[in-house]
Amino acid sequence: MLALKILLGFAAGIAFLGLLDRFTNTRSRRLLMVSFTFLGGLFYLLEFVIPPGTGFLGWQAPNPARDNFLSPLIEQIGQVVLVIGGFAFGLGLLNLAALHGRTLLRGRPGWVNSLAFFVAMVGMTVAGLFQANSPTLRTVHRLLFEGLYQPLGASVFSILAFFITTAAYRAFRIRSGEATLMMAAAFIVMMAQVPMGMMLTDWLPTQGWLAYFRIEQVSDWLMTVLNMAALRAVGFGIGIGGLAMSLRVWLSLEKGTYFGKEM
Amino acid sequence: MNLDLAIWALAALSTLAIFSILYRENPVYRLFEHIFIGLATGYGISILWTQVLLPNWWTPMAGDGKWPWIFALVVGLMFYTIYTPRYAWMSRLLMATLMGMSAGIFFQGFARLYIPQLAASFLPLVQPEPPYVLFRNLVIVVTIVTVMTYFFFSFEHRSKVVRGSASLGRWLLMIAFGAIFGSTVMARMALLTYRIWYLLQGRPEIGT
Repeated sequence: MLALKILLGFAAGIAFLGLLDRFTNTRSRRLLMVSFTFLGGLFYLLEFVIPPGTGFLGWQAPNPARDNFLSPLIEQIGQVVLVIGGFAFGLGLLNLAALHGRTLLRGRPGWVNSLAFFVAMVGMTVAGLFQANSPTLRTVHRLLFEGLYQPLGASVFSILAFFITTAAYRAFRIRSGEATLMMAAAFIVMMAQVPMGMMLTDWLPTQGWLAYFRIEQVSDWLMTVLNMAALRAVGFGIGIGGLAMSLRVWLSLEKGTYFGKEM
Repeated sequence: MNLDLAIWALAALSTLAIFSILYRENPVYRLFEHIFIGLATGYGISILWTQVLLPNWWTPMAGDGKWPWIFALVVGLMFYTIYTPRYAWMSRLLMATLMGMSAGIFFQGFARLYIPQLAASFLPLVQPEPPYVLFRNLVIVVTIVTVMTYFFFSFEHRSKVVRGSASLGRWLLMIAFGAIFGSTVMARMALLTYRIWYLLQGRPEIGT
């Protein structure tokens, strides 16, 4: 009975989409998009601005001291968006499969790599999904995860140490005041994290005003005072820019891929 | 074959294969790079199902009998209309709705995150705070104001005060970027040190 309901629901949903496509034109589709975008944003705005304890037609939040009548819906809407967003994962999967599938089927150079991609993907998917039911698959999963996935990830990130060092060397060759300042700050922070660096100021006392000049103290001050303040200022800029951008998206004023196209 | 030994051998081989790029571009590196992408994709699929779709969608629908959850699949399928020119508008409708919701979430985030931060940033600059606290507060306030001036592009920096403030902001930003750079290098170095230690420590005891 439940399976029938699910199947009928699926058929009804698809039929609704078909009807929506049949009975809408460019103008009404645009209106639909603008309305949905506006309502999506309006819900979160109202949830924030309506005072706690406010009800609607007898509908109250379980905790009126903290929430309004819209607050309980936040979690449910979040769950729906999470599920719908989860289905979008297939888009990336399709792109990867199409790219490597073409290389493999046409025997282009690098087809062995594409084959390795498919084998690794299918192996990890099967082992990850069914490991709870099979000791063999649990072993395969351990082999793939601990033997390949984890060390490959750590190695890929660790070789960035070399690339970042060569990039720094090129950047610091530009002999400007700013580059010197940047290098000095980087040098202090790096030295403060290794025993050899800490030995440089080991002779300074650990108590009193001179202790502030120990390299680990200077590094800590750079990270928690200057760096924090500069990043906070950058964050405020990002926040204001994001707010302006959100307003443009919310009110469908934005032109571009999703907003200015013929529908 | 002992599983721990097999894991150790595979991990060592993977590490060496990735490090081989430091010499030059080679087929072994390319092969392991593709294996990594495949494994990451497969891992993503299994995590998506076991931690997102199974508990939030499949179990409520098929286990608890809440059949209307099937409509989430119908809505999710709208993403895939992007591949057909005739129905592509449906994917844009869904994306635009999600972007509208993201905009609303950003309003909430801005009010909850940035406004308290802004209020907490303008620290006292007069007594009775101890001198070292006053100095720290002064550095924080000056850094925030000057860095924000540097990023203020709504009008041209013509006034001497604004130009000077923006210039100081750029210098302070460089110190901050240097500090971030130093800490990023050290984080990568820690990863590298661990990988080298892993290769040098030798194979594990068989049977453990």
